Amino acid sequence: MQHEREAGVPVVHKPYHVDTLGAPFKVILKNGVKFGVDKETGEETVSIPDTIGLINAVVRARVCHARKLNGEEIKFLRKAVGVRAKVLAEFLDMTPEHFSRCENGMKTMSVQSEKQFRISAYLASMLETPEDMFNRNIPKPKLPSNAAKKIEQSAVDFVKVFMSMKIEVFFDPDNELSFEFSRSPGRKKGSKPGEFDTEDGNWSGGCDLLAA
Amino acid sequence: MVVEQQLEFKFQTEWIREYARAWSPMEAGFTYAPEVLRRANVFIVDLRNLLRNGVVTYDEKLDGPGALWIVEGDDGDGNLIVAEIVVISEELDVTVRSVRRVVY
Repeated sequence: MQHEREAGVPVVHKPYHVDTLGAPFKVILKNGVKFGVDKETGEETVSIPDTIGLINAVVRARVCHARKLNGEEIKFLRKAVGVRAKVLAEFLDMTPEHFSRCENGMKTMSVQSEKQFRISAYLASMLETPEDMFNRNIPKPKLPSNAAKKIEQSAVDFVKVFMSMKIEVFFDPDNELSFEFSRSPGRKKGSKPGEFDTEDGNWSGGCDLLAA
Repeated sequence: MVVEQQLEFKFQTEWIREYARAWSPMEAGFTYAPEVLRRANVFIVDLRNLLRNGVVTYDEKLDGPGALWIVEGDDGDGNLIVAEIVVISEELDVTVRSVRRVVY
């Protein structure tokens, strides 16, 4: 509670539930959010650092969670990685009509397609242009021969995590999905662009696949 | 007309697309009033798609820091959105002033 609502005066809300993200599940930010008041309208304002990083972290958290994706979640994940429904349908070897029905909840996506979607959404969330992940016309990158072996093994481990995932089809509908994120310290003051602390400022939580 | 606007505000359009594409950890600011988004039935992921693929069609330098831009584009699903944003480019700061869905 605060006594007066003035511009720039922070309002205490901790942790913050970002219900405006578009996610059909709870996204809670444990820190990093600043609050204020719009001078003209008097409405509360929210300031989130590295919003793109947050969206990507939310995508990764959800695809790592074994609960079956419902239509709303498929739609959210697709929009979060910025890919058109038609492009994604083609990538998943589905007709656009069938994919649309999956998003609308009229059909269920097969387990194999869902796993393929999860892997690609996870990887897309780490790309500068996520939609490239779903573009079949982009050639495979050439890797140096010494790096290839390491990357190959990491890729095998990565794919295994998803392909061996037991998708939870049965779950308590009252048990609402919720993911918590926190923000580590950002760039050092006075550092040049591209120079970061060892602990880069990023949103983490919900999925520790990379740390494993 | 749209082509002319695209040419006129090419720098602004490129800047906002780059801002929305930024994927490396950074302290880029994004400020909005949740009620403004709720009233327009627009979510943050919709805005991100708008800023990533949209076109700046208006630019006005403000008396204070920053400039007011109008961005037009779609939400990633082909639905048109128009947003008024205040941009302070030196600080990588974007504030959403207003947003609305365009229904024909």
